[in-house]
Amino acid sequence: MFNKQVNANLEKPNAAETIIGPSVKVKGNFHGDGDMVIDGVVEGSIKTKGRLYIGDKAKINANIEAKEARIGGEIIGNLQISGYLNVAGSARINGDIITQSLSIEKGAQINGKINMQNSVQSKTDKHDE
Amino acid sequence: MNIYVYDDFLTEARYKKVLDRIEIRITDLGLNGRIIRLGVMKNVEAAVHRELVQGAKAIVAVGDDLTVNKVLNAVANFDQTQAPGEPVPIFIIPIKGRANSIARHLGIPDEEEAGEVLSARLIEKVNLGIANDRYFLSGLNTLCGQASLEIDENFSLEISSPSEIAIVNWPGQKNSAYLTRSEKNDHKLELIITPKTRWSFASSEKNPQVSVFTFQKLLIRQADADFLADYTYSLKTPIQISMADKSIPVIVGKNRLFNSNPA
Repeated sequence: MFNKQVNANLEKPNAAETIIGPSVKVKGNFHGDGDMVIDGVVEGSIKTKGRLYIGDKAKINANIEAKEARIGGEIIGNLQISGYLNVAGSARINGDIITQSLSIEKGAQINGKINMQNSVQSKTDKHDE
Repeated sequence: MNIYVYDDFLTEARYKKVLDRIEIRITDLGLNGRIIRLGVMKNVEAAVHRELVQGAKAIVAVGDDLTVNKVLNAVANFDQTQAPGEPVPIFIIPIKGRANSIARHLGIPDEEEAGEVLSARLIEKVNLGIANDRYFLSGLNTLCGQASLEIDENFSLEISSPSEIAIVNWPGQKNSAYLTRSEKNDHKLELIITPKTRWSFASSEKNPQVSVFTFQKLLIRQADADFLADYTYSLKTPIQISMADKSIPVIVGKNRLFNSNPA
């Protein structure tokens, strides 16, 4: 039973609605409905109802909300993930994490609180109620 | 009656034989019509509007991508209440040796086969984009060193290395590195930024690290190069881009580069 390998890594989406390449710097409220891939620099806030893939060389200074996420790179900000969060070995996270399900690869650094919740509701959803 | 709009470059002697061939083919197919010859003094909008009021059956741009852009702007700016009924479709007869990306995309390979495509009259409705009051069919593009853009008034983008910037209206349009996924008539445009390294200029790099965004409104605040609408019409920054609230019927060939959706 100990030899069984479960792949906990979220794959990079092939057909993401939004891709921020390494040559682009984004500032502001970056919100969308579909899957997102971020390999560049983002300052502000990130929110998607889909999956979020943050690459190993990305630099993020933003609060993040997503359904599922794979986080690599440098993150300054809080993460709120309603489903599964995969923290890659390259991740350097300075901020708090709220998520339902979590995996952390060897080498990842997290400076902040981790709060596991059965149901994660976004701040904006709470306002809507 | 079909209205044929001849662009002004066709007055050059070297195009006489080509035009003769086109006119013979058009006559053989029974598609004769009136010819409008553009020139410095000719106002394309006024001439096209006059024909639309008089019940033109199709407006045919004879020339290249710039001719198409002129004709589609003339048709799009027409007050439809002056000619009740179905909107009149546009068509393209591309002249060999000129820039004809739009015709290729619409499945019209060259002037030889254009007559048959016009005769078949397969019509697609295509939503237009608008950039600073200028309508466009395919999109805008440029090569620049740095640029500053704002999307949907929500966030801004800074580009500080040589890049190809393309704003794409049509689905399936082949960007140098990225096949756009836009759905036709989805009222969204796509912005594709492809970094141009010395390496990618010299070769067809398969997977440069492109950036892709969909948007409804884009403001190009500043860039160190002009943009081309429909590959030909030059626009200077600032440029405000969005989908127009207009669609235009276009006669297309069966080998068009997007999914069929007959109007």
